[in-house]
Parts: sequence; structure tokens; C-alpha cells
Amino acid sequence: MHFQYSSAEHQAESAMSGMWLFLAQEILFFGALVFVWVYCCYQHPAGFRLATQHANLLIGSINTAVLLTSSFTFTAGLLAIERGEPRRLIQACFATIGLGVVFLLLKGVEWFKDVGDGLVPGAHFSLTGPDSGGAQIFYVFYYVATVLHALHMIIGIGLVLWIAWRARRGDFSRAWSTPVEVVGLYWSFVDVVWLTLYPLIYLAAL
Amino acid sequence: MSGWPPLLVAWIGLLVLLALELGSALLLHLPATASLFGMAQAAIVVIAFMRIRRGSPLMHIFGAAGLFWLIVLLALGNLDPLTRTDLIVQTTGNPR
Amino acid sequence: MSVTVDTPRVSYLTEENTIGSWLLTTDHKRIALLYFASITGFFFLGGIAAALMRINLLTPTGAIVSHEMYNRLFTMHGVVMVWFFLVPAIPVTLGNFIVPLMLGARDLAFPKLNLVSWYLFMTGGLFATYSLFAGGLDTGWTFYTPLSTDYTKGHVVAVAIGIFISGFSSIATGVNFIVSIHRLRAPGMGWYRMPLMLWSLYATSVIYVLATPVLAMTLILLGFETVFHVGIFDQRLGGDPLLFQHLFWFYSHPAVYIMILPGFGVMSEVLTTFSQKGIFGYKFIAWSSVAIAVISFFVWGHHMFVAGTSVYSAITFSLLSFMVSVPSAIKVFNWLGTLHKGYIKFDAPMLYALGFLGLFTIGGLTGLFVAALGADVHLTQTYFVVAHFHYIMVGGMVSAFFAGLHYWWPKITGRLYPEMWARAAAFLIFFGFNLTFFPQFILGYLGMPRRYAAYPPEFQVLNVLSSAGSTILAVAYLMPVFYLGYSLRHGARSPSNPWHATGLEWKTQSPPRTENFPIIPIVTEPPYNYPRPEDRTRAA
Repeated sequence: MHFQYSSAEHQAESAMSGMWLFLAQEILFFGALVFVWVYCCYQHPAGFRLATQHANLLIGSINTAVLLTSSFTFTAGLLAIERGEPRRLIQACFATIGLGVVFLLLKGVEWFKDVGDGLVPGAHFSLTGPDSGGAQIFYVFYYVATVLHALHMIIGIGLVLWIAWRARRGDFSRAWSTPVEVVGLYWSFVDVVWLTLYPLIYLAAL
Repeated sequence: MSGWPPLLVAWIGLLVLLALELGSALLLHLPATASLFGMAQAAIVVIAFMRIRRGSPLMHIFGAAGLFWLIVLLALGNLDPLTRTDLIVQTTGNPR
Repeated sequence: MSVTVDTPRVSYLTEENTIGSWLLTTDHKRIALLYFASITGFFFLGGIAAALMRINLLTPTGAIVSHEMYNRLFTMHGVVMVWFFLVPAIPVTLGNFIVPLMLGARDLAFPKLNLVSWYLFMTGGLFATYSLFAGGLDTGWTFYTPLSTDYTKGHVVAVAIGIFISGFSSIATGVNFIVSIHRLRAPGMGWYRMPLMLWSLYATSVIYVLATPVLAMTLILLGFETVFHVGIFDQRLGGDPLLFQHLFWFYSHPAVYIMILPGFGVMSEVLTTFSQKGIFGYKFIAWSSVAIAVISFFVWGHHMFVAGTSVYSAITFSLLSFMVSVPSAIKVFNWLGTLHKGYIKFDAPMLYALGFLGLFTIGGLTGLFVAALGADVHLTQTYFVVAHFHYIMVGGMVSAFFAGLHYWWPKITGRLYPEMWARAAAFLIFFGFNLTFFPQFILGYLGMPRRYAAYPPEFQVLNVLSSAGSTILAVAYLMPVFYLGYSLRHGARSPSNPWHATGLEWKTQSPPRTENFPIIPIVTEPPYNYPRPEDRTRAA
């Protein structure tokens, strides 16, 4: 416990508050991308439609389900440690990491296919015609959004690994599991970001 | 909300909403509703997985502030493109 | 509690003095000093660029540097001064030092995060500075597309990365302050018992946390477009350069209030102390800080009146911009009310603060001119705008920074500064500043555009006046370096409360111990609890 806190609980709730405030910051970070999407979609409805038709809906949807499940498993781990079962927490962490890795691998396959289909903005963009410009703007949004989300996933996987390692060391107990809760907030928030991006990328402009 | 059953219900609910999201966009041809389903899913995650109802008022304020400022960005920012008058530029008199 | 002055004491400065103990410290007071050193460096770097510009403008064709070099100079001046001096300045130095002391806490809520924020700041700062020297940048600090993405040969991406990284140091500081103010107030310190400095730093932090991420995303999109030569702002694809301006100003207008709000906080502290009188209209000043933080997000469109945004958007943003001046005016009137019938002492911090009052008022009022749609068409992109925001940022914010620096100097260092030198510097800054920037109002009104290396000969007299003022200003800004540096070794030892001020920071020794307070204080009285004037007369 740091010496500026009066009790462990005082510190724990401050840490949780800090994480929520950080997430408020993240809302605005990804919110700027949502703003970009709305702004450009209004100016290029046909281009966005064309581009959305070429997005990989199958992989995107599977990934959504995978990510939802990973949030579920991590929260289950949190419940386990709150009942005093660190082994269950470790299992939940590895399930979460596994699902996170699956998400990233599928994402990689999707990017690979996109590039193979020539969906790279620039001189060799494969969607031609009058709506090509709008479609390229969409794909700029697509790559920036998905890469940034994937970076958040990678950081999240690192954090969950750290939780698993600390749980193995026996740091957490029924009485104290603040870091688990804080990391859970982050992981679920990354999930929320994806739930916002998913309709924007694959469905809303159809 | 605590314990396993609500968590499981939330997870199944999320998957059902995902199916409905896909269905409404592809079968009913209402793609614009997809974002509404997305928001509903996000709300479930925030309630069930991030356990916002157990959070202190301070955490609620922080979350609400993020949302409020997002709405400001979207609303005031889109005011310009939504109300802009496009002027057609004459391209014929271009000196070579 | 009173501490005798001349006994040798243990303090946060004497605790342990290895390089490692400073570079890896999590003590908010030491981190504040690390920030002081960095900020001072950036201030003089930006200042040198400004001085070179002013020398160049002595003659209509440019006295010393080429036009390309001039473009790089004003870009460097803008980038360094905005992101590496003004935005962090008061919060990370004075704020870092004083927030836990004012709260009656032992440290900020997240001390390690505080240290990380300094490293982020230094990484970003050195990265940006190196790029500015290694190849320069000539887009202005605003990076407008498509100039920045397609035409300039400068290091756009490298500078953008530097700003991006240092942005996260702002976010870290903001999170730290907000959580600390919510969670670490001493027993008995309700919201309305907090010094107003804390209210204004809280409001600043709200902007740090909620505006900076949008800048971060903007810089990512800008970098993407610059590297790949394709992006969402690209007109060849039908993209909209105005979208960049919307995103950029969504951060950068609130950032103006990041720069000035902490200054407001210093004002409330200094004016009450040196008139030995309670603040007038505490709640109005407190809530006007919050109001400014909120409304500042509603006004960014006023930077784009002539850029081709819609008429409806322009009218809306114009009206909202007028609104933001109301809480600022409330503050000024309340400060004047505070001075009324006070026991005013003209010590150096007070002189700086009074300078702030005058300069900020001029800067604020001319802001109304440019917020008005019709007047802005004439004034935009002229020296009138340059003068307007320098009155706020340099005349206002830098004066407030010096006011606060002198005010808390005895607490930070445990030494008193030479009073007469400090007063002289305060006078010189006020005089030099006005001589530098008042002619620029006239120049702008007459139509001289900003950001040009050359100008028509009829503008020369006013430009020479402005350059002359800037030399006075430069000397005045250098003076504190010498006399404050001198006082570090030779200044008289300061008692714990040299100004007879209220506030918890004055109730502990100067300089404080690492843990700030031997025992956590309990707050039993409102802030600024000075004797009322009528009680004084009765006692006399």
C-alpha cells in the first residue's frame, strides 16, 4: 500500500476509478474514428456501400463472437478469484488469452485476404469506378481502426498474462483482487470498442 | 449482479444479439439498425462484464463524461457537413 | 504548527542525492523539479526562435534569415511553445508540487504514473526537438492538410510522433490529478474547502483527459496520410481537408483553456494572499472553471469561419464562443472584488498577478472581436489574431506562471528570492510585453497577414517597435534565471509561511519532507480564512 492511502480499500477504489477515467479517454480516442466514419459516410454513401460489400463479413462475425466469449471467460475468472479460487482464475486467463490470439490470427488472415484482393488504398486499389474514392477512404478508416484495435488486444493479452503470472505467484485472494478487476475493465472495454467498430465496418453502410 | 448464472445469460444474450444484428442487416435489409444492436451489446458488456452497477458514483461519472464528450464531438462535428452548401465549380474555363 | 527557521532540517531535497534517486523518484515534488528543468529548456528554445523571427521582421524584406528558414522558425516556435511549454507548464511543475500539499496528502494517487509521464514528456519532447533541428518543419504548428501531407518537405511524421507521445504524458497527469482530487482530500476538506487552484487544475485535467485522445487520433490519421500518400483528408479521393481541421481544433481549442485555466488558479491564490482577504465569490470562481472546461469543447468551429464550413455551423460556433467568455469575465470581476478593501502588498508575485489581470482582460476582450463572424472575416489570419492569443498565453499564462513560481518558490526551495530584482523583472515583463504585442493589434487591423517573412514597407515602424519590445521581454525573461538561481544558494532561509497565507501547503515546513506532513492534517475551516476587513479595523 502506498503511503498516501489510508487503507487497502481506499487504494483499490482509487485504482478502479483511475481505470474508468482512462477508459473515458479511450472513448474519445476511438470516438474520433467513429466521428470520421459518420462524417465521411455522409459525404460518400455510395463509396462506403461499395467498400462494405467487399469487407469480410464471415471473419468479422466469427471474431465478434470470439471476443465476446473472451470477455465472458475473463469475468468468470474474476468471479472465481472473488470466491477464492486462484486455479480457476489462471485457467480463465489462459482461455481468454487463447481466444484473444484466435481473434488476432483471424484478423491477420482477414488482412492478408484484403491485401490479396487489392483492397489497399492507392494507385492499385481494386474497386474502380466513380465510387472508388469513397471506398478508399473507407479502407483507410478500416486499416487504422483495426490495427489500433489489434494493438489494444496485444496490450490486453500482455496484461492478462501478467494477471495469470501473479495469480500463480499467489498474489490474489478472496480478500484482494483489484488488479484482476482493473485488467478486466480494460479487456471488456476493448471488447466494447470492437462491438462499435463491427457494425461500422461490416454492416451499417450496406 | 453476481455469480455465474447472470454471466452466462449475458453471454448468450450477446450472441443472440449478434445473430439478430446480422439477420436484420442481411435478411431484412436494415443495415442502419446494426449500430443499434452494437450499442445494446456494448451496454450488456458494460453492465455484466464491467459490472458498472457495482462501481462507485465516481466511476459512473467518469464513464458518463466520456460518453457525453463523445456526443459533443459527434453532434457539433457533424453539424458542418450535414448543413454545408456545395457550390458547383465551373470547370470549363480552365486556362491551359 | 510552527517550525523554527534556522535549524538544519531534513527535507525532500536532502533525503538522498544520487542521480538515480532523482531519475527514478516517485515523489511528486522531485518530479515537479524534473519537469521544471525540462520546461525551462523548452521555454528558452521556443523563445530563441521567437527572437530570431522578431529580428528578421526588422526590415520589410527580412533582415537575417531566408523565407524558408523563417517558416521553420515560426513552426518551431509554435510547436515547442504550445506542446512543450504552455500545455504542460503550470500543471506539471507548480501543480505537481502543490496539489498533494494543498490536498493534505502525501503524494498523488498514482506516483509511478507520474514518473512515467515525465519520461513520456521527455521522449516526445526530445524526439520533436531533434526533428525540428534535423530537417525542420514549415507547416506551422497546426499541420493543416494538404500542405502537411503532400507538399511540405519537413519532418511531419517525426514531429507528430513526438507530440503524440508527449500527449500521453498530459493524459497521465490529468488522470492523476482528477483521481487525487477526488480520493485524497484530507479529512474535513469538502469540495468547497478546496483552494481554487485545485478547482482550476481539476478543470484543466478534464480537458487533458478528454481532448488529448482526439489529437492523438488526428496525428495518427495525419501520419498515415503523410507516409502512404493516401488518406481520409485526401481531396483526390474526395476526402475533406476540413475534417482534419475539425479534429485538430476539437483538441486545440480546449487546449487554449488547458493553457490558461491553471493560471486562473494561481491568480486566486496570489490575489487573496497579497490582499490578506478572503476570495470574493468563491463558488462562482470555482464553477466558472468547470464551466470553461465544458464550454471550451463547444467552440472549436470558430477557427474555421473562413475555411468553408457551413453557415449554420459558423453561426452556432460563433454564439457558443461568446458564451465561453462569460465565465472568464466572472472570474475577472470576482478577482477585482477580492482586491477591493484588501490589505494589498505589492510583492513580486502580486505584481505578476496584477499584470496578468490587465493583459488577460485585453486578450479576452479581443477574443470577442474574432469570435464575431463579420469581424473575423477581416481579422482572421492577421497579426490581430497573433496579438490576441499572445495576450492570453504569454501576457496571461506566462505572467501567471511567474506569479506562481515566485509565490511558491520559498516552499519549493526553502529560500527567499531577491525581492527588488523580482519586482523589476515583473515591471519589465509587463512593459516589454505590451511594447511587443500592442503594435501587432494595429498591424493586424491594418491588414498585415501572419506567417509571412516579408511585409510592405509602410508596416515597418510598428514592426520595429514590436521587435524592440521583444528584446526588453527577452531580457526580462532571462532575469529570473539569474536571481532565482542565485537565491538557490545565497537566498535567506524561508520560514514555513513567509506570506502569512492560508492553505495547507503553508502549514508544513519549507521545503517539505518527502511525506509532506508528519501527520495528515484535519481541515476545520473554509479556504482563504483571512480576517475580514471590519474585524481588522476593530482590532486596530
